[in-house]
Amino acid sequence: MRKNLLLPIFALLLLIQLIASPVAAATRVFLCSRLEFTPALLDMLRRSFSRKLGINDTIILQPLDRSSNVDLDASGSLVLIEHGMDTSFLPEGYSRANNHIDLVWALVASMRIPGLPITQPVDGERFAALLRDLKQQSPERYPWFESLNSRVTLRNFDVLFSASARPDNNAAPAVASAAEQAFWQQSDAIIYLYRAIEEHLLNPFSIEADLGLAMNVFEADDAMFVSQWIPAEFLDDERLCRENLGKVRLLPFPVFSNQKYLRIRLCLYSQPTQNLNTAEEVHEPDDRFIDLDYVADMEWIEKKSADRYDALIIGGF
Amino acid sequence: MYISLRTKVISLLFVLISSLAFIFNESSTGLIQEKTREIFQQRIELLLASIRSYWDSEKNMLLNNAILYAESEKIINYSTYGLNNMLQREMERLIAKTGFYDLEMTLVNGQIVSSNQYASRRGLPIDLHDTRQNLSWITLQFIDDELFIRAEVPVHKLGEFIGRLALRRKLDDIRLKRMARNLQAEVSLAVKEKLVASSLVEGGRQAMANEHFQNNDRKEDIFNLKIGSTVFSIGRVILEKTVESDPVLLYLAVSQDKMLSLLEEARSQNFSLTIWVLVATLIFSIIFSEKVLISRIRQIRDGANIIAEGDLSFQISSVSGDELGNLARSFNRMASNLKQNQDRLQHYIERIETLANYIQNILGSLRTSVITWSMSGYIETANNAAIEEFSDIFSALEGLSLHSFVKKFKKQSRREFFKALRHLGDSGDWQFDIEFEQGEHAGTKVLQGNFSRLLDNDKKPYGFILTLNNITQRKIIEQQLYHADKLSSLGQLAASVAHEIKNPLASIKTLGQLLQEETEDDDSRREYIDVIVSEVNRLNGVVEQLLRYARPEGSSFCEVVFEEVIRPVLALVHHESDRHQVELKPEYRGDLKVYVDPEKIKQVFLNLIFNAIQSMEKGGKIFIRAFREPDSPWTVFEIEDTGCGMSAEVTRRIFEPFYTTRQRGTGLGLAIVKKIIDLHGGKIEVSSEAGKGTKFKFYLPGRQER
Repeated sequence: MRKNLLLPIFALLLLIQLIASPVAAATRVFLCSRLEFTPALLDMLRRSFSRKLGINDTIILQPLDRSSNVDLDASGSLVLIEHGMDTSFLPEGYSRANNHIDLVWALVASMRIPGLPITQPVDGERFAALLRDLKQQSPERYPWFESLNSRVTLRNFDVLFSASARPDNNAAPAVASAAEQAFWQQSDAIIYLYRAIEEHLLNPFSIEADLGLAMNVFEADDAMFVSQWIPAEFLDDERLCRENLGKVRLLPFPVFSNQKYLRIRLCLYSQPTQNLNTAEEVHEPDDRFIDLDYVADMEWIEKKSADRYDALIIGGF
Repeated sequence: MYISLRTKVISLLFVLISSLAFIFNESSTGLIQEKTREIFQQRIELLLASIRSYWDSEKNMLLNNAILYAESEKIINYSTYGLNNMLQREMERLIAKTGFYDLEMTLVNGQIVSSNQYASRRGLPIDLHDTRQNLSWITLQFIDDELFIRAEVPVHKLGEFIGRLALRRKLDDIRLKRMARNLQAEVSLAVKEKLVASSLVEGGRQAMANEHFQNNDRKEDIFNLKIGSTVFSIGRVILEKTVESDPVLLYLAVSQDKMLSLLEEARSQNFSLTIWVLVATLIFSIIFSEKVLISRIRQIRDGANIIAEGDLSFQISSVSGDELGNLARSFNRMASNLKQNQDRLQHYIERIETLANYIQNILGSLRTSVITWSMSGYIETANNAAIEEFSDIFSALEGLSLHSFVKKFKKQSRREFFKALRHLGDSGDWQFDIEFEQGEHAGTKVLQGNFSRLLDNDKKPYGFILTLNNITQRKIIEQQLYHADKLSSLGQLAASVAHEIKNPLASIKTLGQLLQEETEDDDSRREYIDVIVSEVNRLNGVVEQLLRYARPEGSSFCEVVFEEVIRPVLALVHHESDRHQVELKPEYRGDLKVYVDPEKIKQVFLNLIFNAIQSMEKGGKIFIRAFREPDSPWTVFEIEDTGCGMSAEVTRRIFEPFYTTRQRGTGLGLAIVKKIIDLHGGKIEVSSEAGKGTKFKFYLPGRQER
């Protein structure tokens, strides 16, 4: 009886809602990138996209598999393509717009944990100390979590370590054996991660975790640190992250004294008929970022990621 | 009170069949009730038996779910890698909308993560040397007045024991309601003295709690409990014991409403069926009584009516072999016998009627009056002669009493009547005369009678019979004979005297005529002589009449038209009638013929009309009528005047010779009239009333009667 009443009421409410509010226009945006887009990342990307293009419409972001035969023309959609990717698959008429969205790879530190006041970027040593403190406070828990099952993540660490662990004048004196060094002192990303796992600072389940799981673990407060892709603009205003990541602090991944973020750029492609509120793109050099090379990265992923992943599991360093 | 046979038959059939239907209805309803209660009891027992299976399946399902959850990769990984919040979320997700109360993971280090607690808690580390940790078990927990069923299973990752996963289901009202739906019975659980959960609504729950509190040591497993207006059959079984060894009692309550409604429905259906049967029976009874019974009885009744109306030849046509057929055959036989008897009776009746008619005719034909009297003195029968004789004084004789009968007789006659009656038993014939007046101017009737006894078939006196013969005429004839003798003597005397007188009168007349011739007309003696001659002539006329009366005369009868007789008479008296201012009114048919001696009859009419004219000094009318009486041999003649009339004495003596009321009359005119009438074989009557007139009526017979 009650069910019978509820159905017409719902239908009536839906009808009233449809009549009361005009059907909102939707902008469909296809995403082509190396990244796996988790719901949280898509949400952040959507907000960023909306802010950047001044779109008040509903934005539907849809990751696009290049192998799929999507009729972009018929859909009249926008396309965000990672810089460096082949755009030949785009239907005729699509051209690059003067706009892009940058995504950076940062270490996200939870500010929900009491006694973790991080006010400024930390270096590798400080990061290790924080990890150890946290581990000591909750021995049954792991303070750090990564999505190491993701080849992109492995590549990120590889690039970061390659860029940051380069010997310079401020570097610590070289140690003969890797086993004698603390994990944070390792210059090889895999060894670094392996040793962090061994020291129960990095959750070993990270090896099996993808980016989505990693974000969930962080969001569930089962880890205090996690590396995440976030829109570059969030770096300047961490409050933007709170909706998706909670109260966090965004840090350059603390490899030695690294102060840079890895960055990829998603370039906007559209059809000429689409009038986009885009400002003229200004190309200014920014030394806060390390721009990833799509082609090189994909080549690494294709050729080396499997071995590196195996090495991470097997260890023996 | 009249009740028709059809009503009786229908009522009887209806009562019989309705009684049978009622008995069948009651017995079937009773049987249904008994069987339903038995089945209901069996159902309770079956439910109680199935409760254990259900309970086992519940436990197995809980355990299987716990095992499934324990094998969840996420559960294992999250547990292994300290992702407690993820583990809590995953467990919360897993049991969301499953109806389980909670899922709890106890890690080896004693850390406990529960699906309904966001923060993990710390317990005792699991003793890895305890081999029981690798076992699965199910327990009942009674915590804070709530009952849980808990399945606990070990969790392994790659064969390594990492903890124990406990899945709990709270046995609350919701769960029991689900169980109740599955079992189709109300279920309640009680531990110690408390009713933990129940699928019953609040009122029922309270009643069940009271029942459990007061009778938790009840012996029987099945009992009845009234909850509100509903009676429940309660089955009780001990499910299991809690970890604290408290028995968990399960009460299974099955409402008897459905059973009772089924019984009521069955009763209603039975009742409806009974009503239909009764209606059908009533219709059948009506049809049966109409077709099989009433119509055939009606046929017999109609036949009886037909027979009652006299048609004894009626026979019922369709005769069956049953009792009614026997009745119809008996009826036909009765009708046949009645017919035969009726024929025979008709024959007897005809004979008796013939005889009665014969006797009646005899009695009716008798000139003798016959009157029968009852012993009580009342007239029972009287024949026609008696009725006719007494018709002048009695309008009816039957029923007349003895005293009423004799009241109108003359005194002497009454005396003789009773004297004869007193001598009724004596031997000898006691005759007596009865005289009574027939009416004014009708004279006296004289009857001669005698009494005889009337005996019945046993020769016992039944009454008496009075026979009477009219001797009035005889008495009159006797008187007339006496009178005729006297007249005859007088006529003869007058004739001899007249003969002796006639000769001297002839001499006197001759001498007187001689004296007239010899005497002058102016002689004073001549007047005396003329008187002598005239008186001699008158005296001679008287003598002539006297001689004519006394003279035996021959008659010359012939058939003549009456008019030829009366016309000369009327012409003769015309002058006289005119002189007296008397109007003559003859009334007769012109073709009326009479067989008479015309000259004598002329004399009759002449005398009568002259008398009538002379009776009317101041004028009047004389009616002269002649007609033939229908169906009678008599021709009737009437001379009626409107004159002065006569007294009774004059009327009685008017036909006597020499009787006259006039000074110069001879007194022989009407005597001669009567003599002529007698000569014709007729009779003459006179009726007169002083001051009004006189009517002479005489009858003359026809030719063949003469």
